[in-house]
Amino acid sequence: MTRSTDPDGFLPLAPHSFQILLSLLERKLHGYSIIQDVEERTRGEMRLGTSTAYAAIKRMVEDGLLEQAEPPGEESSGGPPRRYYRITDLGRKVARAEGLRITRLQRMVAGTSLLDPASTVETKEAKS
Amino acid sequence: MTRREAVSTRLYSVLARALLRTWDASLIEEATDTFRELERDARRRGRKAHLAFLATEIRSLLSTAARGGWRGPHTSLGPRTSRPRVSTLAGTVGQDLRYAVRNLARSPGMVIVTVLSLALAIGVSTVVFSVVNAVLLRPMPYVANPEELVRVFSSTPRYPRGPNSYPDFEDYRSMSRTLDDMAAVGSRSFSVGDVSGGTRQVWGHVVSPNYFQFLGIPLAMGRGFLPEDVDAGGRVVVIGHNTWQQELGGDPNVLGKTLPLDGHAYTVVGVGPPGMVSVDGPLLVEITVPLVEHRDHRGRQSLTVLGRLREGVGLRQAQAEFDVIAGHLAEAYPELWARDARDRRGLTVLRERDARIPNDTPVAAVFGGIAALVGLIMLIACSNVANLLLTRAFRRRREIAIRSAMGASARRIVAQLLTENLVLFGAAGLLGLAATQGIADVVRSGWYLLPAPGAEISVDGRVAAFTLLLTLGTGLGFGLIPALQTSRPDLIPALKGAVPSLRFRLLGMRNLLVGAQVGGSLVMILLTLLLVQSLSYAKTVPLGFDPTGIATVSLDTSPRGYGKEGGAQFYADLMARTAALDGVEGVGLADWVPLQGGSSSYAGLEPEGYEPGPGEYVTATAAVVTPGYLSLTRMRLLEGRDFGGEDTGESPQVALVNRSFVDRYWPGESGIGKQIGLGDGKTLRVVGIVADVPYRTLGSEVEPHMWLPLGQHPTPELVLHARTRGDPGALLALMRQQVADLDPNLPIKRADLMANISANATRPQRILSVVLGAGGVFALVLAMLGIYGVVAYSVSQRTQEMGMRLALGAEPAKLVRMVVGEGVVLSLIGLVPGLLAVLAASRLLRSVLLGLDPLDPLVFGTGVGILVTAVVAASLTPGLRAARADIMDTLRAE
Repeated sequence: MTRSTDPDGFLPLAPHSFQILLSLLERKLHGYSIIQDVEERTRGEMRLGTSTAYAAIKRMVEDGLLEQAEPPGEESSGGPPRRYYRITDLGRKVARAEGLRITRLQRMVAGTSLLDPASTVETKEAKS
Repeated sequence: MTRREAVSTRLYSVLARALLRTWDASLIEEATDTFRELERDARRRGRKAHLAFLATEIRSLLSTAARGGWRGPHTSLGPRTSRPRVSTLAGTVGQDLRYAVRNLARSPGMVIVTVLSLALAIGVSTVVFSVVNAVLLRPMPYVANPEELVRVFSSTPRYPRGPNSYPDFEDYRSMSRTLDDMAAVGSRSFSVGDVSGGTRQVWGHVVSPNYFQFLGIPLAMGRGFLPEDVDAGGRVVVIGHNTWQQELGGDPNVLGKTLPLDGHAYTVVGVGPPGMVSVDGPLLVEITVPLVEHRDHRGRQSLTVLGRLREGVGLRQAQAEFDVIAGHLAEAYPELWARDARDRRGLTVLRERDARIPNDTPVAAVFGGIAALVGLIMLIACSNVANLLLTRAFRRRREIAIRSAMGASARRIVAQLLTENLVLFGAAGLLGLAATQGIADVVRSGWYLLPAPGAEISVDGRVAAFTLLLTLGTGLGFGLIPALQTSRPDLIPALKGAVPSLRFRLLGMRNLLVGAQVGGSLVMILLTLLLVQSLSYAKTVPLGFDPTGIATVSLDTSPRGYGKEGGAQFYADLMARTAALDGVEGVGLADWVPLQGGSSSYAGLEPEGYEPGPGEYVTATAAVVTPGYLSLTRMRLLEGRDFGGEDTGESPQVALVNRSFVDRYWPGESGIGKQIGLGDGKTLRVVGIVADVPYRTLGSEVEPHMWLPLGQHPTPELVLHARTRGDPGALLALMRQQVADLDPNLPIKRADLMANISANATRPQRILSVVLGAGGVFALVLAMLGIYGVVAYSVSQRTQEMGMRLALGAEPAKLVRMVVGEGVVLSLIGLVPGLLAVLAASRLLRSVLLGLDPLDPLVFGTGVGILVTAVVAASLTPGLRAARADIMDTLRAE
């Protein structure tokens, strides 16, 4: 499989992949903390299933958006050492591109009457 | 890690390994660790959060598997290197499903027949299972900590699970240290007065005052009983939720109101929770009253005793303690507990759940019988469906060959066919589950164990799981047969549309399926015939009395406070007034009506000169009657005399006994003049012998029975009988009027024609025969469909052969005979195992059938005859079609 280096080639990102990238912008985390961080940041709106999260992580590692990282020194949960993930430069670029895409979209939506309360009613009436 | 955590983590890891095959082991291990931590968090947030977590995880696993975790993404389709959105598993299943639905929609007739017959079979099986579930598996609802509950039985070698008396119960309670607390419960039917002045019979409990607290049943309203209630006469009642809602309109101010119960006014103090069932089985308890009668009567054993094991105490310790208690009681009351060494009473402690399985029937036999019944129903329906599918799959040979030629693997085709079958079975399963409530209502209406309907059969998780398993299991099992048979067609001829040469293979899959149907149908038909015959036999069994023209009115004068003399006077007046009514031929009183469902009985009798065998307990049922009652009801006095005015409280005690009594205890002797000890020092002298009259059930054997004169055994609860030349229904109304004229405040417990009462005695058999009969017809129709399908198919495939035969001069009639003959041979495959099955079950059947030989050759002949007729009818149409085959068409095709 050829590895793409053009950030725009990855867009649009799946929402959960985007959230995972956001979680890793500032620090390296392991899977459990990523899932928790996404849930907290989205105020519970997005609760990643374990295998959904790992499938996304696996794919992003394969695509070069994430890479494995050494655990921080103080890590001692008693169990076997956990794998940490950190965002790569490409990952950062892709996340940024996705962020810009969403912002552009948001502006486009704002320029229309889509979210006006009145227009919603009209549409409904037109349908019926 | 707790055990539960370990289980779910392990399960997750197994599922992940099975579903996410493209993941390496270390990733799965990591995901599993994360799952464990997340689950721990979710568990801490409560049950609801935990369930939501598990649901998310399952969804996540499945969707990850569907997105390529299972087999990996398709990459070979083209130059596009990015991941395709839809990949194998989910895509395939969805595609198969859509295709299956579209394909099935093309043959709506087959779908309707298949789904309906399967739905019915699944529905019936589900109901059967839900009864088992309600009776044996489900813990009593609302009871706190049901696992601690035990039952205490008073046991003798002959009756290992006997009931207890109230004084005994109080002794257990004061002596036991292994049980925390105990409660006593009796069950009986009550007649509840309704607004229109009539009464209805409902099931209920008579309980020790601590009953509700003991079981921890939360009442919907009000309170349970207090010891003071008993001191105040015990006229208080906790009503069932049903009675409250339906009879009293859910009146929120019902507490403190009075309810007419068995002719007494009871004050409502509480309302039970919805669906409160009896300790004896799945009967709705509508009435619960405190136990006040027979509290001092140690000989009166009628109560179920429940206890709660003290913490840390095992069943064995409790049993050891109750052995000691039984020893104490035997010392204190030797006449009741240790009448002689052979018939010693003991106490048996069993867990409540184990106590539900009847001890005289081996558990395996109960479950085996039920499993066999369900299996038979499902077998008939499923083999039919499998055959329909098989026929259909053969018709689609060409389509399948094309798909095969296009590169579809055999596995892929099987998956497709299987999906279609599972769609069919799934639809049938859903419909069957939906029909369960309806079928349960039918069962409930005929719930013959009850004097009052109200059995609680409901669909819970366990029942739903059973239906799911049954549907999936049969769907996969019976769906695989046709799928596998058609998945590897011989490509070239199939593509050409040619017909494979179809040899008549006697033990081919399709024939075996038809055989299974025929066998199953035969079993159902024979069972139905046997029951119908036993019913018509029951009609001809001499009742020993003549109920026609007799009207009965049940009364209880005790609440009116007449006393002994007053009561006797009241009944004498009532008899005189009724006798004077127009058209009345005779009147009499008795405390029991034959076949009313119950009777009083005496245990521990001592018939003169009779030596009871080891462990034998001499018992007899008994009825108190007025002089002339025998001739009124046309019971036959064989020898001796009837009671007369001279048999009063002052004269020597006398009794009449039935033929069976004499035959059992004084075989070869007359019985007249013999003494019967009652066990309490009193004796009765036999003055007459009466022909056998079934009092309890219309079974094959009449129990020993005694009649006692009312003059010597006065009782306030009596049934007035009157015979008329005219319409007994009209007389019934007049009799009610007489009662009202004499005492307008005396309630009538029950008023019915004696003929109705005896007719009700055969209700169980009638219901069973209707159910089995319907099942038999259903099975027969299915079997006919199956045979028709197979024979018609075989003929259609052999049009050429038939045409050739005709062209070569075969007589059409001969062809018809040949085809029908094949059908008959087919049915023989199933006939023989079916006959063997009924033969094997004949011992079990003997106990249900009223004095009939289950191996009656007439019944067997008729059953086989019906089946063979059906088979011939089913193969006749294809036979005739074969005989009309157009010679020219056939030859052109060649």
